[in-house]
Amino acid sequence: MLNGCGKEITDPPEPTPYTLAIPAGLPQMDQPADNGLTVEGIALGRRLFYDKILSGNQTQSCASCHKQEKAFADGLRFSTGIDGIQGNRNAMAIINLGYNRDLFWNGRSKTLEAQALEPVPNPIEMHLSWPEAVTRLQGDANYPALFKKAFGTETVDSTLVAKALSQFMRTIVAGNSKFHKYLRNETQLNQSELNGYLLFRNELKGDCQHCHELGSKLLTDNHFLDIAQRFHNNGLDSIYPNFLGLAEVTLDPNDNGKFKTPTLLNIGMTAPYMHDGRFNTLQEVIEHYDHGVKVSPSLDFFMTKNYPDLQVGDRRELGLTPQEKADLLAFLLTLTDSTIITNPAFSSPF
Amino acid sequence: MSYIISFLNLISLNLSIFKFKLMKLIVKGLLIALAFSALFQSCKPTDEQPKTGTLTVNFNATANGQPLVLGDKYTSVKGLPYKLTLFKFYISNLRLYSANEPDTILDADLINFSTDAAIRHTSFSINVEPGTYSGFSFGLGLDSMQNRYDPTSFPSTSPYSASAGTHWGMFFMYRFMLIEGAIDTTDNGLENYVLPVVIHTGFDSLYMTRDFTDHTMEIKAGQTTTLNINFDFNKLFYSGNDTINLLTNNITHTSDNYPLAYWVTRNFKNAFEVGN
Ligand code: HEC
Ligand code: HEC
Repeated sequence: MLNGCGKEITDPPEPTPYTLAIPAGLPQMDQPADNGLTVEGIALGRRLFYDKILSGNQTQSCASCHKQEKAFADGLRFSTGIDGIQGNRNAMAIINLGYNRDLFWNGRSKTLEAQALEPVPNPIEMHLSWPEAVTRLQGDANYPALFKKAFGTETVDSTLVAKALSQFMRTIVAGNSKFHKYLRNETQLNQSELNGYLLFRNELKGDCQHCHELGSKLLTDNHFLDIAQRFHNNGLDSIYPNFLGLAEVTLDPNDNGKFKTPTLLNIGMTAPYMHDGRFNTLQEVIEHYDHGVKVSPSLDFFMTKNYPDLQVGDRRELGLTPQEKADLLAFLLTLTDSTIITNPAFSSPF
Repeated sequence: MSYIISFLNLISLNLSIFKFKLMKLIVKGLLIALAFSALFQSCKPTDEQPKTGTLTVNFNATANGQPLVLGDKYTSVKGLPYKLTLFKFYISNLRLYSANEPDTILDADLINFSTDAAIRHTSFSINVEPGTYSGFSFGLGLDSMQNRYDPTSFPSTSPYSASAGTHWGMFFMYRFMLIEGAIDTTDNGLENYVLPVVIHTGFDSLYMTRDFTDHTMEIKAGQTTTLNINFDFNKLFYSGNDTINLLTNNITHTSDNYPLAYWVTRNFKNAFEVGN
């Protein structure tokens, strides 16, 4: 066989480029130049995501804490790793991460490829050193051939594992919720949902759109270019004994209590809520934004802009009526794209 | 971006401004076509004589006589110490005046004073038809058509993209200018920047045009002409004897405090000067 340059091809065929189908109305997703999506790369990543081979005692995979039926969160306040040690942060839903510029609650990883190197050796997660993981995969009956198909080499290394995992995670795209369909004129919102949407948008009311951004229809601002616009203190605490959030990375006290804004897509499926899973229900979240926001020096100014008289130590009173709270909840529940939990391409290949 | 600009430029040469505006409606489709034209351009032989010149436009901001740097300390006209964390604004519809119709050479761009080199954007270059131009004008903000673009139809590198962090979910329009920072109200040396300053402007009525009708520029084929547009950041908060007291009037998202948004926009427009 000859290719365009007339050179004989002896190597196995190149991996097949894969074009991600982005739901209408979502932005195009940039792909990293050195890890474009391929059919074989995604398939390998999916297998690795679900394979317990990557944990010390072979009892956990990524999917143990990122379950498809829970929109790739785990439904627990804190997850427990293979050694029975419980972490102290809530597992994050893996949705639309290909658009994100920071990974983890405090943003310590900047790419999925860098993020994907963390869970395997993490002692409170899968607890397996990378050299051991690589030895296992190399000795496996199937993996060397799968790496060859995806990356042209049978030699497994952690970078390639991370690349494959990242490719799979980039395909998990939500953009077909009732809300998206409403914006595409494919369906209507009922009156309560519509009122909730207006409340969500209204800068003098909920003002949720300031951080859970609407223009992109991603319901987070983590695709913004300026890092100053991507992390926020939403008033959960005024002192930070356990988590400093972004300040853990920047070491700047002005960043205390600032966290990555999570997407609200599929939020009805990813309870409990916030970085430490402190709220069990969306009702509790709404109560927080209504009257629980604690004023502190690093509280986001969007949270107090309509309340110039608030002092450090005060709590913000939004004064939502019971009906308004119900409307906001109804709107949040329109953000569920159920294909995330039903799409067989995201399910276990085993 | 420069391909888009040169392409629009070529087309607009023989069109009235009105037609040009209509054409912007199909800008989305053009973006795709342009991606291809960019491909072809790069295949051109390089020894061809250049037919256009380059105009490089720099936006230079100062405060207290120093270059404006986010995170550095400055003092307002009223003597308040402040620091900025975010400062970006749209300029649009840059036109050059010549004997003919004004020639729109730039659709829009987002000027960003970020200290992050990867996103800082205070200057841009445009391919321009050689000739003598008698002046120029540009809009501060976006015109009513641009203001209604759907950010998801633009790539993340476009100034219209949602990633620009300017799109305004409350109205599905754009914010024209974002100024964020804080004032040290105590000014006792303890670096206590607690009072936020947040100025987000938007709305068609705050789209303002600045004219420099008598600034002659010579654009020569194959050569670069530089246009420095300078401004003193502190001038955004005063004009004549009308000084904004940032201690009491420091937050606007336009709809909640229109006067402040209006004053800052008007002052900003007037603050631009052509430098050397
Ligand atoms: C023991 C449970 C557990 C396992 C196993 C686990 N994760 Fe996680 N994951 C978490 C928790 C908890 C967080 C939040 C951690 C933090 O922010 O510090 C997280 C965060 C993430 C994020 C960041 C999401 C965001 O929005 O920023 C990604 C991506 C991710 N995990 C992917 C993986 C992959 C890939 C694997 C397998 C290699 C994996 N996880 C295994 C619990 C787990
Ligand atoms: C100033 C920015 C900001 C505003 C405004 C804001 N949020 Fe949030 N939101 C955040 C951040 C940051 C988090 C994560 C905080 C944490 O875990 O520490 C969050 C978390 C959430 C969560 C939990 C997400 C999860 O996966 O655990 C929900 C639900 C939520 N917000 C809804 C809302 C609603 C409804 C409004 C409007 C009433 C709103 N937010 C306004 C920034 C904001």
